[in-house]
Amino acid sequence: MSLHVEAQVPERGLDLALDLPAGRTLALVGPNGAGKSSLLALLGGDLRPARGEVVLGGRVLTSVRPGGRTVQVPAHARRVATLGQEAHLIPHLTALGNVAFPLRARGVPRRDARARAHELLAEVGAADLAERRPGRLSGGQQQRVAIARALAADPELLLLDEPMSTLDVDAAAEIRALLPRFLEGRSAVVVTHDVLDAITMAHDVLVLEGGEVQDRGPTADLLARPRTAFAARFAGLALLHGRAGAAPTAGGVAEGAGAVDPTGVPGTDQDAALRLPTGELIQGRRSGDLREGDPALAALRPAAVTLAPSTGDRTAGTVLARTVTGLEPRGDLVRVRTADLEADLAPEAVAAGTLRPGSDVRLLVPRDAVTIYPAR
Amino acid sequence: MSRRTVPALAAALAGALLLGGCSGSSSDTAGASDAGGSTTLTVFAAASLKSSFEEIATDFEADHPGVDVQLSFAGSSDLVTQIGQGAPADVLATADTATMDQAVEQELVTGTPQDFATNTLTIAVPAGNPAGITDLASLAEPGVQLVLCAPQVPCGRAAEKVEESAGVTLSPVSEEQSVTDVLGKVTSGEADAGLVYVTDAASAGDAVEQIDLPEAKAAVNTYPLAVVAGTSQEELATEFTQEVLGERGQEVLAAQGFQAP
Amino acid sequence: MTSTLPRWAWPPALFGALFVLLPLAAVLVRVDPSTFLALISAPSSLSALRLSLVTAACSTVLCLLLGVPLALVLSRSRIPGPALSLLRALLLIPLVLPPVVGGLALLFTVGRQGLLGGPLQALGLQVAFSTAAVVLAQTFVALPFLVLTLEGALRSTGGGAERAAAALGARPTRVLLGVTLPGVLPALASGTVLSFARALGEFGATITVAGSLEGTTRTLPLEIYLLRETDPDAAVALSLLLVLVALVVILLAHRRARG
Repeated sequence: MSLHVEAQVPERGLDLALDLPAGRTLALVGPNGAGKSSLLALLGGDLRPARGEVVLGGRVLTSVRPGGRTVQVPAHARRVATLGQEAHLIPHLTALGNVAFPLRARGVPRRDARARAHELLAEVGAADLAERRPGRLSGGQQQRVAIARALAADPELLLLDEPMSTLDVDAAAEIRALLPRFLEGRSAVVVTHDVLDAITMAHDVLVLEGGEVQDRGPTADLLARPRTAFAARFAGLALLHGRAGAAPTAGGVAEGAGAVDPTGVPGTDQDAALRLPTGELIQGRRSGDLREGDPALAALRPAAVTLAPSTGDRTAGTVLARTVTGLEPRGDLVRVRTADLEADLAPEAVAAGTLRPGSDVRLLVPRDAVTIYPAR
Repeated sequence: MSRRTVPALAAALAGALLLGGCSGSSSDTAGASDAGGSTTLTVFAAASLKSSFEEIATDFEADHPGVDVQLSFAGSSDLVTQIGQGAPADVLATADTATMDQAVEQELVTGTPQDFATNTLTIAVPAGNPAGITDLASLAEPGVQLVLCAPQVPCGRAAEKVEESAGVTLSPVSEEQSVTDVLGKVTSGEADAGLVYVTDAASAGDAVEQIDLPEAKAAVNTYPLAVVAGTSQEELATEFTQEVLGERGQEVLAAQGFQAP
Repeated sequence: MTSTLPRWAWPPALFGALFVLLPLAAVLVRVDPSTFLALISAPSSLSALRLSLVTAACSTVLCLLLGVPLALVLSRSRIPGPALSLLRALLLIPLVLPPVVGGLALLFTVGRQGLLGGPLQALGLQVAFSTAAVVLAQTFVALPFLVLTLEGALRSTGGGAERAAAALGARPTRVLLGVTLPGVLPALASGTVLSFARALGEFGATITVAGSLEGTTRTLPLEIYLLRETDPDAAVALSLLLVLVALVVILLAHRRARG
């Protein structure tokens, strides 16, 4: 079912509009307090906007507008199911009873409901847990049952509110493997802090910050070309702001000041450059229409950045002179922070003891690792 | 003493102190003279004697400087039970002879109890007499909400005697525990009528009206009093009984509606 | 298994237990086994026992009918906080009120001269001196026990499962019967037992509003109080009977709540 939301909730600083085509999954990302929970509450019917509407598949679930009749379909009639951090299974019912519950609520006869519940439990790999009560299920097992139960409700919209966040790594992996199959063909909104969830489950990503939609787009596109600091961090990219520079005619190692490498390898039509506020020109690959002087962004993978060798390297890219502001471990690499750029360097590069906050560093940013695109 | 037992002992001590502190006032009524040189006389009296005995006690104290009369009012059988359990009393005055007989039987009093007043029943109706009660017979009419004392208590026994002698059968809607409860039901207007003592009806003032009950002569209720056995104030206690039986005491009782024995 | 219970808690705990049990034992000692059966099987005793059981059962049902919705409203409604606190405090007043005052308050309400006296009489209903008055008095004093117990349990269960059930398509009534109440069943059971026990032992409000008449309004506690006037042994025997009845009810309810 297609979803249309338009809502203002001043007391929560929420003011947004979004559309979700039928059968698509939207990943909802944003920092804490961005309004993700409020948006879910709006969809689920727990929160009424000061003004706005929620329309699911042509059914008006919520409508509050001046002069109009206020509509707020109660939770049980919205056909919006939530899979939250807690499974919230009904404690006195068995796993089977829990899965059969939404079917019984819809008036399905007991025998049919139990039969269908058995099928659904089998689908989530929990057939052997049917007779157990929630108190005797692990967190991962509870979430499996909760998934089967949500599917039993046959919702028109499925809300996933970080259902893996309280699980241990193995259980989370199992649930993660299970979910995409069930989202197939359903309209769903997935709140997540994990880029992997967005990649594996969501067609689109919506970045919510300060109660407003900051960015949205197809997952691959948004992750490759983030437009906000949060989205870049979510995608694991460093983001540089600037203006489109003149497309260079030649490749090679360039000094940040714009000097062209003397090797004179010819540039392609995908080459682009971004002029940083510092005046430096950073080279990369163009993505989208860029006109010189337009606000533009450069996204790059910090792990691709290296220390610039003093001589003789032939990698095409840009060398930027920076001052280290901080160091922190990052997996088996060391993240080196500067005012505007982050680099994940091999520990050996740092081990010499030359790198510490305050020290000067020359970073080589390979041209192929940089995507330059319009800031919109 | 180990360190662990200290808190336990402290808790026990605190508990004992609390209990002691809460019950501190009762030691004054123990009958013995206190540090100030004054003497305390404790009188247990039936609840219906409250106003009269308070007045008599004031007179008695005026004549006996240094004597403090402590009055304790309750139902007669309660008083007997309390004395039986060792409550410190010097004089006992009950609202009927049956309960006093129990006290005599249990050897709780010394000497022969003396009758000091009588009381008779009357019909009490709420102000305005909404049910139009005129006499004993009209109490038996259907629809009349009549309240009596239970036959187990003195006023109920008296009511039964009145019924028997008059040949009337009353069917009350409630048989109350005490005459105060009967009076309460009448003053609140819940009951159309009740049989109570003349003194009680008098004490209720304008809230109730009295209907004459000539048949009440069949059940004259007699109030006896006696000195409690084992009192350390036998002389003073006897003097108090004389005060009640004397001219001044009888006047006070008559003013409250009691009759002489 | 190691216990975190401090040792010093034992002596006061034992004192506390003795404090409750010793008077009960004293009653037991006072009862003469040879006359016990005869005393409790007197017609007036049996009549009082029957009346007590019937009225306490009626009051408990009334407590459930009124108390469960009340506890639900107190714990689940969207009434603003301060108003709710005030409402809760007011509803618990019967707990601190001397029962006699409760009886008077009821009399001022349903009595002939009371607030609702006129309308009730117009309907031909006479509450005072009736068995209904006993039930009213018992319900008045017992209701807070049920509400308090149940509301505490409802507040501590949060409601996550309830919201989930609603989102899965269950109407409010189904959520209540299928999720909420089964989740607080132990508290519901203990609240029910508490209110039954309180109703069974009710004295002051009953004697004030209902009076005392054998077979109609004289419940076991009233019979005990009256018997004490003439036959203290019978009063003690009946007291023991009351204790036994309460004990049986509490144990049965406890077993059922567990099983």
